[in-house]
Amino acid sequence: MSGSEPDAVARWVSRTLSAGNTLAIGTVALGVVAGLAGGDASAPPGAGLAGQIGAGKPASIVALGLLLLALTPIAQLLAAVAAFARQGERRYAAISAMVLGLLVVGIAAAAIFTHAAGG
Amino acid sequence: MLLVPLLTLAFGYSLSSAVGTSLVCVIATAAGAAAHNVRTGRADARLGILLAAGTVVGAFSGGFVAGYLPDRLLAGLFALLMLYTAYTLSRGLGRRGPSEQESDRVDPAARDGADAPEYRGRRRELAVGGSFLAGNVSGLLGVGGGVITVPIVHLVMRAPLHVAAATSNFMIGMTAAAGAFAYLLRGDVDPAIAGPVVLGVAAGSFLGARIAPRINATWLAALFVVVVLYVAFQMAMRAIGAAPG
Repeated sequence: MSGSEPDAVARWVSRTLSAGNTLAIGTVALGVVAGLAGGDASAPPGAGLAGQIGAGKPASIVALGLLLLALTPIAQLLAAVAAFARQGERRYAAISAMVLGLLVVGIAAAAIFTHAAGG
Repeated sequence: MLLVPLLTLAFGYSLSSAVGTSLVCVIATAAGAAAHNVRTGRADARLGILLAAGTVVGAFSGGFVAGYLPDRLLAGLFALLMLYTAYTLSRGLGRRGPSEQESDRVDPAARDGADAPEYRGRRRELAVGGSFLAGNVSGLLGVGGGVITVPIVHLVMRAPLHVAAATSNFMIGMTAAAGAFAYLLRGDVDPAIAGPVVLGVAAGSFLGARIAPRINATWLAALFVVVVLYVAFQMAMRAIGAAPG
């Protein structure tokens, strides 16, 4: 390895991943501690993610943390698109944007299927 | 890798709940490791983004297909994956890769151009196709897919092993997120179970990274092969209906 200074891609992507992971795991920990402290740790039976988060219980805080965790790679891709574009690496900015688009379309499709199935 | 069998065999959770929980845990461990690997220049972010195009599409198709497959078939596929993992580990993944001297001269963080590592352009189409397969395995079985992507980057593209492992980690979070959303939105991931498991896995990953340099890697790999073979046997029993499912 060259040991050169990290470029914008390395800086932005690593900071985004660290911040997202810390926020998500911190939120999960808060929910778990609230559940242990006497709150009802169970989620509403048969509820989808929206129902779990909206239930107003410690389990809702954990569900929110899990959602933040799943959103972290999306933030990673947003950071990659911005950093590659800033460095003038159009090819990789386009590939990152394509992967981001695939993820967003796939998640939207999953949400539509879940909604249609009554989840 | 071991979380799905642990949750299903030891705690009796459904396979879909275990797979969803495992995918969320995969994101937690991969994101922490990827942040470190990108910052220190170990991961090739450019190659990782390219291969993630294959793994993300694969993860969606794997997650979609998983909804239509019976638990016993998924258990059988998991048993096969575990056998493949045990085979790969016992064979010694690093033997056919580039030498240490070669890997010292590689800069995975270099931009495309004269300084770009040679492996980045090698057998790229084959690597993207293999990544699609890895994504399918991830979406189907709730694993990171590193068991396939590391050999692809190391043995097919001939990147050094540490670059292959770090680059694989870089894309695992994106792959797992593609699969995880389907399970999360359906409510297959129970926060009461997933919360403590995520915290345990994150703590284990943090401690493991610090303890690992003091542990004999050969003995650790041998122990892991034994555990993986045992789990493969248990999942195979479940697949043929000889174990409770």
